[in-house]
Amino acid sequence: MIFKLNIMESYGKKADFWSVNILDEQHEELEYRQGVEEPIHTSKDGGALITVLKDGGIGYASTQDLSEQGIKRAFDQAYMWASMFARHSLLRGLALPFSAHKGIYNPNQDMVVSQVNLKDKLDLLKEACHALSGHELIVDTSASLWSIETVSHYFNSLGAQVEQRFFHNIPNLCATANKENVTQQRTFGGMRAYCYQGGFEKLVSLDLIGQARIVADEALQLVHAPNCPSDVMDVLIDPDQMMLQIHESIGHPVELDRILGDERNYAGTSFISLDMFGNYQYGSPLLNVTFDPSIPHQFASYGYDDEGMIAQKEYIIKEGILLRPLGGQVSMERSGIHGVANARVSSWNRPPIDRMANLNIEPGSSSFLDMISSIQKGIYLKSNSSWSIDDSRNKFQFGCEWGQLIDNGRLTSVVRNPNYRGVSSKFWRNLKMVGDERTFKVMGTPYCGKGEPNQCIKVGHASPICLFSAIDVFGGEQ
Amino acid sequence: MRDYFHEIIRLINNNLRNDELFTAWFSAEELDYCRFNKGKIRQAGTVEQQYLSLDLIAHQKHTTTLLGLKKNLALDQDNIKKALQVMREQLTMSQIDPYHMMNEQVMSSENIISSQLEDRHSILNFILENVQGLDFVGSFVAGPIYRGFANSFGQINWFNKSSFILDSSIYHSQDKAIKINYSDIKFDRHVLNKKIAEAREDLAIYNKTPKIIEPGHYRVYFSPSAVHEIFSMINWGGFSHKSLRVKNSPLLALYNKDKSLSPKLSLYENIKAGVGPSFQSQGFLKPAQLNIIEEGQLKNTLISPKTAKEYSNDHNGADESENMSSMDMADGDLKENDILKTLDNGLFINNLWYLNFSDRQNGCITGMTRFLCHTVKNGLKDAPFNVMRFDDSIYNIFGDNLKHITKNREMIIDNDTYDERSTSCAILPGIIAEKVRFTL
Repeated sequence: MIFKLNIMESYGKKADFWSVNILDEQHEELEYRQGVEEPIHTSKDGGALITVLKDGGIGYASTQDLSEQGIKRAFDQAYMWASMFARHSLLRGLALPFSAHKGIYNPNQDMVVSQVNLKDKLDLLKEACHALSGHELIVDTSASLWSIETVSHYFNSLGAQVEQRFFHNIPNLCATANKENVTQQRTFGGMRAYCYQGGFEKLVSLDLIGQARIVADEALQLVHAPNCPSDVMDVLIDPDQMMLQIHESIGHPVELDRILGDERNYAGTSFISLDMFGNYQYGSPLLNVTFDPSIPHQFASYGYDDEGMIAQKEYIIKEGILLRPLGGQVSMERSGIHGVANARVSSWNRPPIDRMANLNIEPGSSSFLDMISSIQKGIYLKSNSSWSIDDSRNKFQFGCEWGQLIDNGRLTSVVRNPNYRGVSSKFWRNLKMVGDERTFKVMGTPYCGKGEPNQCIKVGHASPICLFSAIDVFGGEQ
Repeated sequence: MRDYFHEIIRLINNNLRNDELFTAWFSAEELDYCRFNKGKIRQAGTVEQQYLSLDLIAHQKHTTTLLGLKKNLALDQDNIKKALQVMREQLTMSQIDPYHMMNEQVMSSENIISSQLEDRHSILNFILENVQGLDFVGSFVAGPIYRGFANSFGQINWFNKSSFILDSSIYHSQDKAIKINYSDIKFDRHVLNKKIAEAREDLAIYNKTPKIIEPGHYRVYFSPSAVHEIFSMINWGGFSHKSLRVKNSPLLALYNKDKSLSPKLSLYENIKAGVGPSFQSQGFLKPAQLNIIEEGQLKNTLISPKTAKEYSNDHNGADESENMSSMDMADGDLKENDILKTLDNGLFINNLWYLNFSDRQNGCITGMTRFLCHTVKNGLKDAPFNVMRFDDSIYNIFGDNLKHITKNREMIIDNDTYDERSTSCAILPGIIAEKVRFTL
């Protein structure tokens, strides 16, 4: 995408500050369902977001027209919003600390998925779809691959020039099994959790065909399994459910814009308040949570956020104590609290807000076997299927695709429809053991919703297997 | 914008080969948005976007692409030509789609709702002046929405309307707030003033200490907004013929006649009363009204052309998602003034939040109360209560436990703005149900 920076350099002078985010994105979606190839779907989109500060007001304008006329028109619109409503601006009087960093972020050295022969990719999905089927109780199957290539540029009137290239890939497998009045769906990690950044080599390493056989087998086990019992017990949570647990009951409540009230009408508020940072006991001393945009292949790794701030690893929670929020430069200035580089846009047509990016739990020291053998009565949960939490991010209820009971230190029978509920502020203090590096998985999801107007964004979550004590577990309706 | 759409269709036609067919879906909007927090503006801006979804068909194969358009015909032509070239290459490697269906009967239409919106600056200034002193938070979005369809057979459909949505709330403290929603094609200052005045009065209830509700079963009034949240959840695959055929719908037991809903419940897909286009993305027209649930029995499911081909049914103009877009629930006889008296003792729930299935196959849904919810004691408004989780089956809430349906119904405009503004809506009453289960 060609953007004439000199237009803004001359035309933008009447603003106190301006910036431009340019995004150019291409998608390819391939799928086999029930052994039949779905039509290939591609997309190509691009545009610019222009931000203007004037007299303490801030205005935005988004356009797909990157001609000189289009850019000037968008600048005028953003300028109008900033200047005309400056007296009503929540940010009036703040010195917004935007930076002038220059840099390029392009870590992927692998074979770009869009460059791989289309037939090879379709054949892989066909074989994976075939591996999902083959049993009369399997009533629906799907194997898909969604690839996204993004080039983003950020410029501002201070001289910032940032270019970033991303290669996101989202494989998915799904088998639905039905026996009489019981239907169970099993997927590859739930929530498209095996999404990643990188190339074709990483996709090959996931072994979609082998995984498809496991998904189908587990769907069949579930459809024959009894309903999950209701009881208070220990809960051993796999990384593909931990990612949802982290996301909903740590990630969202520590977003600084929520704490500052921006999201109260839509995504909600937070049970966390500004005075808790530096002293609040969020979880047990085993809990270490990091904002880490530097993990290779993780879904929301990046070099800079969408306001040009350099992204680096920071502890959000250390040894159970809440240290810093997820808040970008604007939120930091509003609150006076150090945050992280997480002001992000979902696309060229939305303004930056505080998002999660990669939010991870650091590995501990317990092996999987140590954790299992420590449990008298418990359940091992995998793959999210249901999520619900209150608007302060406290009372939650989550469901999983897969449950396996643990009795006297041994994994026993598989159960269907496992759910558990709790309260965030208490739940994390019941963290009893944290798995070691061997249990650690790097995952993510393309679907995190927030903002008005709404924005759906990619986030990453990595976690070891974790053990929690005394959790309220229950099954579905009998 | 209509002329631009016609030019784009001309460009496609001019660049097609003799053995090729196309369908095209056009989706555009000019959006002004303003986010509020603490009675001030947090973010405000404008978005202008145009998208073309193009389906290229040849020899029973087809492939689709979505293109962001530049509103510059020379650049757009270049991009369309490049896209067609890529799609032709894809077709050589594609399989025949056995479930593809084209509408070959030309059914052109045009529906333009002329803009009656006044200047956005005066609306925003009016809002901001009238919420002074209040902890006002939310968003205002306004502007025209355009949808178009065209195909190789000469069909052209066009839809254009301008409207606004004020989705906001006034906070008392912490998570205690009163909701103010206002959406229309014309902004009436008196209507908003009345809503703000009512909200100011309603805030007084939060001067009482909130109650903590113990887990258990309660008699409940669900407002139209709360009913909308529950039906939005059911709509996630519930009425989809494909979901029913792959045994994954939460209404499977209703479909199989293993369970039933209350004879008080009737539900329609009422396109003629809706706010969106009457044509779907492949150019098939939607019926003006389709009976979905009639007196508690499932009468029709939503069947897209693709599903119809796969399962050998007749389609009924449903979108590929097979979701309802203009939900219309029949009214009852409970008058507005009698709601508290009829509820007698129980929970008055104005809003629900973050619903999901706790047991999809059995139609069990969980979710949280939010915004103004209060207890009712001896037919009188009592005290607000802290957020509470419900977890119950739709076969209970809308089955034997459904006791009353209000006479008054509300038009609820979908405020979803992911990617683009939604054109869905619902016309729903409130309900009183007993023995609703609350868990946390």
